[in-house]
Amino acid sequence: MEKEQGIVNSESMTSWDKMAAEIRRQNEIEREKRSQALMNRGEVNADMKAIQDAEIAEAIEKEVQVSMAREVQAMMQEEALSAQTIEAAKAELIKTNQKLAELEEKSIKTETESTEDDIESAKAELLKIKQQLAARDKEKTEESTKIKLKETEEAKTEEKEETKPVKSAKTQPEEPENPFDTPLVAINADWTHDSKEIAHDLAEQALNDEVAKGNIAKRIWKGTLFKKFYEEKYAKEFLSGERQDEKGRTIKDIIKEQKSSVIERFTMGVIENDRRFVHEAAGEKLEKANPELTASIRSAIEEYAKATPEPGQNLKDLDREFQNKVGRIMQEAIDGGLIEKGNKTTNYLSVAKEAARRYQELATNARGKAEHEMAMEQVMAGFRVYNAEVRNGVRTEAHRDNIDKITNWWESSKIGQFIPSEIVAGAAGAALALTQTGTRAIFGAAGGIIASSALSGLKERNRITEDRTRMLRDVANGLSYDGKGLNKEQIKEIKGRNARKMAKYEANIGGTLYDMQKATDLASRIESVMEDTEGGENHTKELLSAIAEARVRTNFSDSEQKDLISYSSADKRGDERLRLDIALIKAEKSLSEQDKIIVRAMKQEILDKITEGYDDESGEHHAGVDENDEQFKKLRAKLALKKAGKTLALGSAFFLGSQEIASIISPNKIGIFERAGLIKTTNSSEASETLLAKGFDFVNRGKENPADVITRYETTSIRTDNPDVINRYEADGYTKTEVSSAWSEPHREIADIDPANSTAKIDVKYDGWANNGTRAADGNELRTGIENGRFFSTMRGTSTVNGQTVNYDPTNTKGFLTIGNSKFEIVSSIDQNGQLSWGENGVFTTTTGETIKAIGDNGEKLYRYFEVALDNGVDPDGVQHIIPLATDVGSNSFSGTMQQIIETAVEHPAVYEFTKQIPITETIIRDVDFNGFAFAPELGRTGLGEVRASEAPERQPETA
Amino acid sequence: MQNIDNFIENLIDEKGLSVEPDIKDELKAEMKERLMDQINRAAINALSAEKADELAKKIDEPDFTNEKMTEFMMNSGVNLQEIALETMLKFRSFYLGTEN
Repeated sequence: MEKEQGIVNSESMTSWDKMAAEIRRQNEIEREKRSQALMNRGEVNADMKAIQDAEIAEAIEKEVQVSMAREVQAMMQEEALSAQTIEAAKAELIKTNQKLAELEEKSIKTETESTEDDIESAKAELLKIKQQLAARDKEKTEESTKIKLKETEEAKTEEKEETKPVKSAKTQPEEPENPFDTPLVAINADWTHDSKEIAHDLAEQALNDEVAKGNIAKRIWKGTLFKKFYEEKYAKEFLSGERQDEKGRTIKDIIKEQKSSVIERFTMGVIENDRRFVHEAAGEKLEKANPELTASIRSAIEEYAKATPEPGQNLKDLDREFQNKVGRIMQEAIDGGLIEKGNKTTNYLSVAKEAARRYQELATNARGKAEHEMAMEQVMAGFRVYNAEVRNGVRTEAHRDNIDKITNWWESSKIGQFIPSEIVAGAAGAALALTQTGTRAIFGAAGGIIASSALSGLKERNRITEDRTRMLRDVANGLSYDGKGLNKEQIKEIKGRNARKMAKYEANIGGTLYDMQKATDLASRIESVMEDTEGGENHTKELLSAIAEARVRTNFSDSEQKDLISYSSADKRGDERLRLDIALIKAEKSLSEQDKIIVRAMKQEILDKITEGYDDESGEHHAGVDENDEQFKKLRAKLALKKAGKTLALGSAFFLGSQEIASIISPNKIGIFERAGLIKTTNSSEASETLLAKGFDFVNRGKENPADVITRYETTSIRTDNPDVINRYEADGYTKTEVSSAWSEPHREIADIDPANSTAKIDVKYDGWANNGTRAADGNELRTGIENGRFFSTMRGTSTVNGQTVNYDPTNTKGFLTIGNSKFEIVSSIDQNGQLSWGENGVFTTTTGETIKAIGDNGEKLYRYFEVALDNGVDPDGVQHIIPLATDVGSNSFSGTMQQIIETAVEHPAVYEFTKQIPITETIIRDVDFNGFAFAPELGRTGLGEVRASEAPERQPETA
Repeated sequence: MQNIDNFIENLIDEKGLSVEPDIKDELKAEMKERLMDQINRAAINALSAEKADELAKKIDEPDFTNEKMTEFMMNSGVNLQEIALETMLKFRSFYLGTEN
């Protein structure tokens, strides 16, 4: 009875029963709630309720038992769990249950007991901790020990080797110059680690979704009790390809989507000799492959580049042969220990195709074997193979949460520096040595490192988040997020037809950017107040608020790795940050102890506003960092990205790997710039005054004429190749400059086409039919035979046309295939008997390289005719004149396609830059009405412009 | 930590700043603290999923001290010297805006 009532009695029940009882207890609570709700609505009375309760209880009981039995059965069958293992698992479950119950109690308690006082005391505690942290550095002591400097010559030597071609033991002639922009680079990428990470992440998501939709028993079973077991199980299913994500993708599909962007990133790293393209901090590696492997791959590529399809072959056959060959090379390399076994992708085929294209280009003008050999040498000059380990996947949410937890704990604890000082000292010595010896730094030119982050590794690393981080970084480094600063390679990748899609995407992401302040503005504000010798309360408050704002933003940017400070450009940010640092130090030195306390309180208020957002006087809401992050997360969930495409390097950042890159013009650009504090486009003084006034609601209270209005000018510029945008900016009076001219990129692909639409068709005119002058077959007829899908000629003697003797030989005889009403000239070959033959295995190749399978595998003659004919010349209209010597009639039942090479060009339009001087109107707050305060006044956002209490550079009458 | 002081000093000298000595000293101290914080954060960020999980549990223990944190990080599989070097070079690169 006790059991039925769901009372847990540890003395009398087995651990299994305890679990079942717990499930029942929870179900009881749920059932009672629902039942009561129905009663309250008058939908049931007490008697009906009792009956209903009993029925529901029975149903739940059955559900619990069935559900538990089914799951255990499945586990035992699938995983062959022993009874002992089950018991151990059950014991674990009880522990988990108890923990759950404790947590539940705790959360209920927390909800009911939190009060305003708690919040205030928490704030006070935070202030106290910040004060302690500020005093921390005065108490630190460091031991100095001798260490051995890390060998820096290795770095120099390695770098030298990177730039020199690989030489074998034998003396080799120097490589000829590569006439193309970049050498060919092959990458062998190992996804083993990432596959597992992706599998675990997907497993976690799949299980969470399942549990969220499931009943209570399932929620407890899969969501809590056996959660780890199911995560592992699902992860294995994802890895094996058994399970797919909600978009129907397997791990293989996901990797395929990312493959080309990752390969391109590594390729750029090799070509640019820039390690920033490799996420080394996350564990990625990029190393030159073994020379033996490199030589084998090179040889396979050269063979492919020079190959033409044999009779009976088409281009796809060549691809297949190449793939088989490199597959064998890779297997031999694994067997020989040259590379590790794993989940690998390569770009060998695309490199081989590019080699073929380049070789064709050079070989066109080559004469003779020697020149052809030289052409191949030039194509392959600088060729390298690299092995890479990929760490492109998303960190699991659990991993991110753990990193965040550890970071937050470290920042708030007294732990301080935990890396041994000798290690740091050693690194510093190595860094000094590297930078002082003139060795090229391991990292290339500055221009994209996150201002406040030490690592290129990101806390969240998925495609859309990378984009937002890239945009935040660009805005922080003074770039407009239309991609200003693109190099030539990046401009080439921009495709105009996707401009709108990209613009909308960028605008969406841009709407979640943080409210940044320029470093120069923050510094100027402090400096100008410091220069003002008038003093007074206003001066003090202005100074304190300027210091507090700057400190909050710098500290937040440094600790949270979220930039709230922007710089003019990557080149200038060092100077601008130093200027701000120095301005802050000087200003803080002038503060009294009382002032310092006030600044700390101000910082707290500003921090709250920055993170949580606030409403200004007019009721307009300004989103904080947290809100922007939340909005971004929702946006990210909505955005559905299609296939992966190429990535680009944009300074230090990467574009999406999943879309064609377009000119990044956002229709909301102006809004974003305003938010970033980089530019304002309003010239309405009323608007400006309102905006500024919002930020300082302790000033100008009750003042009727609070401010003067000035106008200054800023330059805005934007780059685009989108015709609509070009027209708009031209109409708006922008100055237009061409930054790169239009160019055409040759492109070659194999297409399956209907023979009736093929450009390889020829026009033919019959100038008569030959016969051998006899009525009966006597062995002298001109015949063709078919063997192994190949036509061969068995011609003997001569023939006649209109009574005239016709002499024929292989040099004046051609083969023609007719499919429907389309006729094609077919390439012939000569066998050992000196006889002509056409086709192989039923596949015929036209004289222009197209292929068609016109004889079935069982010898079915799918064509209409096959004719062997005398070549009687081509007339001025391009019509081929022939005299058939022999005709074979087929069934004319061909219904497939033929493979044709299509030569096209991808047109890249010119890119233009538009610039314009934009007037910006600002309000200067002259008088402040400040009544003194013990704690910080309500300080609004100062991010929308400068506020100077001293003279302005120029003043103009207020504009309407 | 002579080397790191020299590193910061070298960085400031390359900027050619002309400030009063006391301001310069404070600036050096601030930059050094900022750099050390970045190195610590970088080391934490470099932890693998397994190690991060392990450390996240350990920090809940009441007697988890600085020494234990150091010991853990030294055995975490993270190449701390590489992390520190990488961070310093990036820090330098940020301020100088140049290749070296």
